[in-house]
Amino acid sequence: MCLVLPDFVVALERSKQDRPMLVYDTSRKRHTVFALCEAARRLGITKGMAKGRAHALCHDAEEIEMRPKRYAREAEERVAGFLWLTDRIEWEQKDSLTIWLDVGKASTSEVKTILEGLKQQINEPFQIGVANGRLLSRIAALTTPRNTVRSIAPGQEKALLSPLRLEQFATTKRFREQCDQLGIYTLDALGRLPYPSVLKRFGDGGGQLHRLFHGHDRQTLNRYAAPLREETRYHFDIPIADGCLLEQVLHQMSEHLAVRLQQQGLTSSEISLTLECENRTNLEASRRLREAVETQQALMAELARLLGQMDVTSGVEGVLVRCDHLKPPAPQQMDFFETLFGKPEPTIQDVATHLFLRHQETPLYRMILAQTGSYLPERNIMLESVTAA
Amino acid sequence: MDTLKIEQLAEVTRLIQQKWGQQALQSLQDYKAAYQFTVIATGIADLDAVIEGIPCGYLTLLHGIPTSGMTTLTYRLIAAAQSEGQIIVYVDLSDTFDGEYSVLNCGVDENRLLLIKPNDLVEALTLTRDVMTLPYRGLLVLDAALTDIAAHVLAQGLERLRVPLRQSAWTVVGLFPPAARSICQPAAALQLFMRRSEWIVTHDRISGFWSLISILKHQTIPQTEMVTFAVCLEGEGSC
Repeated sequence: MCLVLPDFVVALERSKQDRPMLVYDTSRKRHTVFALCEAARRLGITKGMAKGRAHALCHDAEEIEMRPKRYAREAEERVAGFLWLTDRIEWEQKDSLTIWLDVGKASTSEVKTILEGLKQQINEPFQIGVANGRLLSRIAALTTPRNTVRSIAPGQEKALLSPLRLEQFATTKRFREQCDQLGIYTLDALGRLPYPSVLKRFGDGGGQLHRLFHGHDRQTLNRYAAPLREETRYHFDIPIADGCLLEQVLHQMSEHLAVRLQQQGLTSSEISLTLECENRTNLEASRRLREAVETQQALMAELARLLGQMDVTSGVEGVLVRCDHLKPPAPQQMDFFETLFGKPEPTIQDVATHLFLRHQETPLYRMILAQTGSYLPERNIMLESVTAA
Repeated sequence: MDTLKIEQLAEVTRLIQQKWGQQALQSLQDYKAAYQFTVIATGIADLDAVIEGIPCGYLTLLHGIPTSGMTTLTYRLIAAAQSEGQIIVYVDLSDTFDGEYSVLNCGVDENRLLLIKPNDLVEALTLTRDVMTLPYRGLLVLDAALTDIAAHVLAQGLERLRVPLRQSAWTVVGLFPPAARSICQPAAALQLFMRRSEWIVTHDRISGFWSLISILKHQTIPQTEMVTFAVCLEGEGSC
């Protein structure tokens, strides 16, 4: 079974229903349309179109920069919502979200019940394809109108696949050139040829399409393991702008998270901080860590760093802290001397050595107690210059 | 307070919290329980009873004129931090560090104190930021009590210290003149104002003085709190 949510990104980003919406891919130098709503599509805008051209076609559109991390997170949450059905789930997210669900050998009535459950769970436009096979179910889903289900019974694959053109499948350029030279344009034409000849002439790519046409789609779905994640949220009753208060709240939240992580024996490699501001905007910052953290101090240090990166211009209404990429702590290489004697305490020479690198002109001193009993303080305590080791 | 009043107060508190949230009105005990800091004890029992100590990982500012007890309090803090294994960096912008008094009267360990004498405030603040990057646990004292301070430089410098300080294992104590109180307030977690109240005279000789500490900024304590402690000029410890 394949479930496609064609307006996944648009549904997530949409805030104003009365205006067309365009989501731009700003990861490259040339900004292009990544996702768009139906209203924008009717104006002639297409996916991948340059930002300037899209803006010229629809100048009053709601324009948003894409946020891939958010989409991936939302997609993971949606997928985790289908674990009640099966654990064999695969998914793919671009501007739309495609989810494959392996329901095993369910009877027709069971499939109907499952479909009813799915429809109740989804609150946005969907396309569902039911077939024996991963690619076949996806084709079925993509060729059915929105909010409908297309079921392909065993033996009816050819009726669905026959009119499909070969260029619609992800094949190599050489394969397409060979097919053009031989006058083979549809899957039907390829499927009618003998399998050994197709395999010999077109290789594995051709053979795979031939097998698909004859209903041999043997690709199975892998088991889905929901990623471990910990998050904590804090909501202020009144928007606050005091940095110290915000730090205290983060301190408290990092303590909660550290306790939860330590209870589960996990460490986190990615920390995200989201501030929900009074002016209805969300400030987001995240950091992928080289070394996983678990303690309150380390979490707080990372959160303080993220907070320092943010330009908070209006009052903060809520704070969300999320720890991703949770895993058990990696075993560390123990140092023989560290194990035996512990870390040596730092001396003023260590500090001076570091400071000398940048402040060679600044005098650094250590005190030496002479105890001469003099009334002159400078005779009792002498200052000795400290130099780099 | 009788039982009826306590019940009425609890009911009013519940209604306010229900309408405006838990943070709108809460008892001081609850607030203190929510925000607990690691602290360095000052060694002055009365002051520790009120503020519990200097919060680690934050900026603490002491304001006062010479002979207000500010330096003595700082030396006691240094001794307390050294007893916890911390390393001390003393940025002596005022050029008034009294080694003999700190070692003999306040118990400072001279082997664990690095004294730096920068030329100006900008250099001192740069040094402070660089010290924050060192991977050690320590206390940095920025002594600018007798220095002419450019207000905007100080305000900017202290604000820029806040984030590196929270990321490091260092604690910063700043000594500034009373005039810099309002400039420094936003960056500080704890701010104390110290002044001499009266001299202690023993056998017609001045042996010390009483110092009055006012709390200007603290997370849980109102500004009206005051603590008095005695500074002894001869011999060891306070009077």
